[in-house]
Amino acid sequence: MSVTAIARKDFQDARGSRALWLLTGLFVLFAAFMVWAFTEFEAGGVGADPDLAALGFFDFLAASAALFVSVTALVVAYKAVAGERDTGSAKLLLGLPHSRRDVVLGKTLGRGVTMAIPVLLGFAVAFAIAFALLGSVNVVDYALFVGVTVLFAFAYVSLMVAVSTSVATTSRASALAFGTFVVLELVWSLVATGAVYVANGFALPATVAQYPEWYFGLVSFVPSSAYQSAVSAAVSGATTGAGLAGMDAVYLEPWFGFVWLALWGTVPLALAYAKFTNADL
Amino acid sequence: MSSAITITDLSKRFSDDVLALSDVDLEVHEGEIFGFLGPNGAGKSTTIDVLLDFVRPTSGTVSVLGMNPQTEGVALRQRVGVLPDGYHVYDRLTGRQHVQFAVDSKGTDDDVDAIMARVDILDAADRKAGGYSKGMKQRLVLAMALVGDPDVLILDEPTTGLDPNGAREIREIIREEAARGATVFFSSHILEQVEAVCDRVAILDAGRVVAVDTIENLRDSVDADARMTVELDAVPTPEVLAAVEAVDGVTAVTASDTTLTVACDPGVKTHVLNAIESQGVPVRDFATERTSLEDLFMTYTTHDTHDDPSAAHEDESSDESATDGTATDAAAGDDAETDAAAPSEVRR
Repeated sequence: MSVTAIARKDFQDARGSRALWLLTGLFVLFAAFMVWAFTEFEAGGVGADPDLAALGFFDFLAASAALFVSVTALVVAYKAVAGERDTGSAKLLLGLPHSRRDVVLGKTLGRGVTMAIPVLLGFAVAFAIAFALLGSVNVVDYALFVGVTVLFAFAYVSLMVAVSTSVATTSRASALAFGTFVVLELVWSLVATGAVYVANGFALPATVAQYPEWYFGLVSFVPSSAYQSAVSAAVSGATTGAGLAGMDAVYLEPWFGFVWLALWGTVPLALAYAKFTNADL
Repeated sequence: MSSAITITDLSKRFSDDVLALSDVDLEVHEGEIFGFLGPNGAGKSTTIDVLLDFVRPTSGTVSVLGMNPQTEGVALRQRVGVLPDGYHVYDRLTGRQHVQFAVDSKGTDDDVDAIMARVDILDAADRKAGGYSKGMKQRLVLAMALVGDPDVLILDEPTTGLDPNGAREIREIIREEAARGATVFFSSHILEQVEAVCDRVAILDAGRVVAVDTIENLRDSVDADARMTVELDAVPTPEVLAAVEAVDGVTAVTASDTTLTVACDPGVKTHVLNAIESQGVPVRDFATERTSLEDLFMTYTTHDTHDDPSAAHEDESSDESATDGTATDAAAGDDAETDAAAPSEVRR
């Protein structure tokens, strides 16, 4: 009751935002472009770009969607709670009979649904284009792919709502959200490599094959990698996750991407709630 | 249960080491209209924030309708209507969506249009609230507070941003809510705004409650006397002075040239004038003045003198600031005559 009332209010609020519709338009263009680009590379033949050709259609889409979804989730969610505390609308919200837990859950739900709009619209248009250009697309696989992408979007929104819940002002929320994004999306492989460098006695192993298992675990731990693992687990046409032959740690199984996503979607939010529930507005 | 709000030994120290409240004790009875007064920064909003669990107390306890805001906040706010201080409306939602959100949140079946009509913003119901004026936002949030016929209304500076007419409409709604049986607790830094409707007031200053009483009693405790100046046609004789001093209720008489200054009970003005004229001295002009509400307020809240209210009062009243009267009239409107801060003049 309380959660859905907040989610509905939040969704109504976001629906009036020009930024959301701009993002939706961008995502539609982006998804359409990626489908077109894939068919162009395919048409260019295997020799045109072996790296790209080795990737399946869904891997290609997933790799590019990961960045777009994470940026969009940041924009959609970083002000969710901190913005209300900063301006004072939180006093309207919490003057009504809502618990702080319901505020956090309702916000996550509302922003998650808001986030799902550009994703669904973008991939709907992309589907039409893919069908036109490729002649046939596996509808079940495509639906599974979109479903996993929406799940990833929810997990990322939840992470960004957690960031927003843990601080009191919009400026801190934007700094923390941007920092989180940079660490997880841009410099994480450096972090993982640095960890190997230190653990290996301040030297890197000669070949990638000599890297320890946990290095690959660390790399696949961030949300966008977890998303791509989950896509390869769910969609038969995807191949990400191959190439780790000889590694048998459970966290390197493609399906483990779902576990990582579930953790990203819940643990930061729980920690942020624990802080928020005792905070002064 | 006869107490709607109970505050016991409440202290709040913020993390930046500001002591906002210090041992506040307060009891608001059920069905009462209670004014919570104090200058800006006195701690009024902090007190209200604790009642609503927006901030956690450093020590002490509060109870609203017998419930603890920290542990039973949701159940409590189900029965409370709130107009908070320093709120911000959702710019992209319409007025109607705001009230509908309150209805959805409380799970009531209130008629949104009827509530918006009551606070006089029905004609703007479908406009985005971000474009509302300050006064309209204030009405909108009051509308949200009225949803669900709450047992307690907590209104923080409800008349902020409203013109005198708007302030009077708010007071009218407050009276209607009290007549329905609701307890109304509202804060203001303007005494005139609360005098017109409040059964009792508390005055908060620098985080401490310095007075709790009816305004009439507060006024009496500060100053029982009115000051009256009388212009005579001639320099008064000792007989005239003696005759005035002999009037029951007169506490002091001083003469300066043809002017008499008389400290007396407000009810004996006519006797004083009669006493002077019975001595054969024509009165050319006279003026009276009561402790203005502003003076009263200052008496309790002027920091360097509040340990000695009588001294503060002497300072305030001696400058005979008749300009108080304009502010009083504008703010109180329909009740201007009760706030006769300006000297009333009668020509004979």
